Amino acid sequence: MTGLIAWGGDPRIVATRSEIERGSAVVGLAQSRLIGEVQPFDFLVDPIHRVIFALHLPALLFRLEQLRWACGAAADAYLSTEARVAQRVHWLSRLVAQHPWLDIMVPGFIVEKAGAIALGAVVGTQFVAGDVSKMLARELVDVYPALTGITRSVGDNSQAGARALESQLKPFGLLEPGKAHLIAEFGAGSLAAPTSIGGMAARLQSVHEQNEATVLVEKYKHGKHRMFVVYVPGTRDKTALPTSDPFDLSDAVALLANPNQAASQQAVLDAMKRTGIKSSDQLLMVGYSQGGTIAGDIAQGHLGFKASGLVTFGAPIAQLNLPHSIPVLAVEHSNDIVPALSGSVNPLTSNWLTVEREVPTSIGELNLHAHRMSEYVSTAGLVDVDVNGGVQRIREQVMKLFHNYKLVDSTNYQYQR
Amino acid sequence: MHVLSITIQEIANQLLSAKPDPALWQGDAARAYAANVDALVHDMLLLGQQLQANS
Repeated sequence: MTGLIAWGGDPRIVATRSEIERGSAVVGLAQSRLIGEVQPFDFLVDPIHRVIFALHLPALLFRLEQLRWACGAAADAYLSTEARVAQRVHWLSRLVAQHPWLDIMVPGFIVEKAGAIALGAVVGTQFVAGDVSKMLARELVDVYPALTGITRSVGDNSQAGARALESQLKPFGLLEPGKAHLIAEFGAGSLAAPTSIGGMAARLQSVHEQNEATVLVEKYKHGKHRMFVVYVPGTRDKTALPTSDPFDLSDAVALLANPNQAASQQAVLDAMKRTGIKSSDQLLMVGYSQGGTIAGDIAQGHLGFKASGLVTFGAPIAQLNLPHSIPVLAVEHSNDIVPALSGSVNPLTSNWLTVEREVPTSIGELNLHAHRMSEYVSTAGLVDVDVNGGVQRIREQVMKLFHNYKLVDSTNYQYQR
Repeated sequence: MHVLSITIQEIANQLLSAKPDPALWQGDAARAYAANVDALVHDMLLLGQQLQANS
């Protein structure tokens, strides 16, 4: 037993909350329409047929109710406790989204204060134990743009949250993304391909912990075929003021708000172009935290590269529209709030595996401890030995990408802003 | 009475769209749910026909 909680990656079970809810809503509509057919006046016009119908109605309504119950039970069973609870508290964001008059009725300064309170609450989640912190952070990110009145969120909208945050803090000179430029390029010294997810995580950790913001690109060859593995670090500087590091907090927000403007994403794309990666090449994107979001954004396929796989650690990627044809492995910690910044929950699909572990924290210790890359290296080691069907399948699909390929070059690209 | 039978058939046909899209929800639970939707739609269509025949 590894203690990991995993969902997705199993072709026999695919479920998305939106589809289950859609089915339930259609059933609910049928219930309402049937009840609407029982009007006292109609019994006066054609009593016999209306009576026949009324006699059948309780059984029909009961069966419809059973269907709705089945939808609810399925959603509960498929999607984690965290997802269930997050869904329950979505009422607030939906309320604001569905009733725009609330924005008009409530004075602007109160709304602004509510936004600031929500923002403070995201920070406050650091002090809340366990899964609850991540769940609260996810909900607050989701509801934040609606509260600020800048844009209305209908759920699962990290971009709206980040844009709202940007527009509030930019007047103070905070969260300016800027531009990245290359300062150094040198051989990384890797001798062989990683043989496990844990090995991949360890390699990513060494990239993340370099003195300068570094993107590692490995080139593999098998005959005429080429494969590239791109390792993208996470947020390295966590102050709100712009720094010389393109992987700072400003860029983490910019990345969620407008990925194309983020210096960190510019750096990764620059490194990939310098290496000469083409859309015909096999490509595995590996990223941690902010780097995982960049890796995921590139894996979506709209930036001229065609990814063959994606591995992320502690990254908000639920908001991305990733291809169903590539294996996706998302490693998260249940008490790490960073993946929750997506404002959503990773889907349960056959190609997308999410594995979770709760990192033990001491009393008074910030939950950001659970976001450390060293903790993710440990979790990756557990992924390597987990026997869950979905875990095995996606792990094998990711590692199979290296099959027959030989590492021929590995280059570190370092950037400053 | 003709209207009621058509309405029931309409509701039954609408209910068919409650069946899951296999790309978004599949598995044993989805199959069981879809089979139950089919059975209910079938019974509702029968009721509609019965009402139509009696009118």
